[in-house]
Amino acid sequence: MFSFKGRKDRLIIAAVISISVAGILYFGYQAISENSNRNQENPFEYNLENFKKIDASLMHYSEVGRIRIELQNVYGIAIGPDDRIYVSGDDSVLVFDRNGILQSEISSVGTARCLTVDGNQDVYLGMEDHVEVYDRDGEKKANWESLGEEAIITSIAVSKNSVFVADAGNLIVWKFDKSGNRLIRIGEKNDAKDIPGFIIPSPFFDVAIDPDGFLWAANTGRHSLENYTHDGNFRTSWGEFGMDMEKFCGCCNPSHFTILEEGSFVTSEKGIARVKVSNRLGELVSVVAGPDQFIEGTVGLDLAVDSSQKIFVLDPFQKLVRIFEKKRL
Amino acid sequence: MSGKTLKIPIKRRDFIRRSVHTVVGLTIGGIGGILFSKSSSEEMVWQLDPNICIQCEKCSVNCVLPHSAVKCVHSYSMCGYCDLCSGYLQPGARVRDTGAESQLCPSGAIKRTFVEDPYFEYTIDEKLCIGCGKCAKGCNSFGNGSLYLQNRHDRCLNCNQCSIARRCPSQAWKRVPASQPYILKGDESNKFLKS
Repeated sequence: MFSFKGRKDRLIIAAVISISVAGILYFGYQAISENSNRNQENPFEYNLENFKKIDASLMHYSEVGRIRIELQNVYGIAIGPDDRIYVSGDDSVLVFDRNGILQSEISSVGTARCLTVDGNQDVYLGMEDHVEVYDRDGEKKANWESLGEEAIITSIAVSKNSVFVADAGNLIVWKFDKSGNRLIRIGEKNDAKDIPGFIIPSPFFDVAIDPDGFLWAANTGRHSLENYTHDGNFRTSWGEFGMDMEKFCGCCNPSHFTILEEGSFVTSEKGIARVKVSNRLGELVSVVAGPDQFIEGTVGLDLAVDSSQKIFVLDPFQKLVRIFEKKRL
Repeated sequence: MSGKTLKIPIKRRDFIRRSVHTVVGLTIGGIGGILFSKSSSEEMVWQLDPNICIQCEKCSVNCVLPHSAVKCVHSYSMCGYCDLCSGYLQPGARVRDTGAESQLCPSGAIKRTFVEDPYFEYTIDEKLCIGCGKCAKGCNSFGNGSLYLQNRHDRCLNCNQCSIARRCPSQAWKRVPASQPYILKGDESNKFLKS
């Protein structure tokens, strides 16, 4: 039989009880604080955060300027040969000088969803189903024929003698001469000519001319940029689907693109709003702007490049033209 | 004949009888009036405006029903029939197939059917749909928003104080006429859809 009558025994008991109480308090506190800090996983959450991370070493551009656009809705941007900036929106086109000062306004009947400017400073506006041409003073020169009820014109590109019109409704690129005569259809599925055919799930379908004069078109449903001759022959393509930075995300991207003077591509995406530069081979070179620089849900980041290779991003959610310049190393 | 009219005093019993008749008459008339006014004004029901909805997943857990009355709806006229459907596939899915690990829907309620290369049709199995809106979030993020949520009136109890509406962070819930109980997108918005 044990008996705790001595002073020593009582001390031992008190020590054991004290240690036990301290242990309970310590480990209990640890357990409570650990649970309170733990983020419970939400099985219903649609989480894209991991895909928004950017390697800082790719951030070669910084934002150097902004032009506020005083329109309710803005759709397209183009830069003329004298670096004047053209922005289309509510029934008009605003023309800014290279410093962002408003110079003039071209009024149109209806809204141009896209536009481009040729070497003569003629402005080509893509209305829903037809093209309108205005001279540098804003006087209407021509009203081209309708491309049909299904037509949704989303982009225009001009070369020296031809005008290429992307039609997201009919899933083709129309080639016109500069007088507005319709010549050929480019990009229709043709297995014999290895033409895959355009898949355009949403009304974003961009075209541009590269420094060699070839036509490029964004086949957004295939996540690729495709290269065609002016006769409509398929030359090559690049791009693949993926959420990673070097690929094109979502169902249909890139939503817009433009081409730098040395042949590199500037692309913008929707879903995860980001603007990137890829070289002629389609390899990622730089990130111009990442998702953190846009309001969540931003779509329709139209692009243009001026003669000094500054990249102009039209941000329709903030109604801004945002100007990005390559950082000096 | 003296020509004088006699003023007969009203009896207490008659006074009470007439008073009771008046009160009963007014009560019946009032109730009838209320019923008439209720029947002539249109009945209102709860609905979720898909143009305001932020797909926060709270509709799936805040309904008083054991299985939420909110279900995913698909606008076929808007859908791109994409092989790479961001409403069907996980954002980082390695392959575009029907494997459970590739699917975004936590209950596997979306069926993917091949149409022709490279198009696929997506249909909602409402018995499996829990109304979490994860697919709608994916479709809205990358696609054109053809997948969206609606309160299904074949299930909804139309509570006076809808418990989902009370907790909706974007205040997307509103009362709509029972004759037009859905707020639809695309071409379907022009058609009358009644459960």
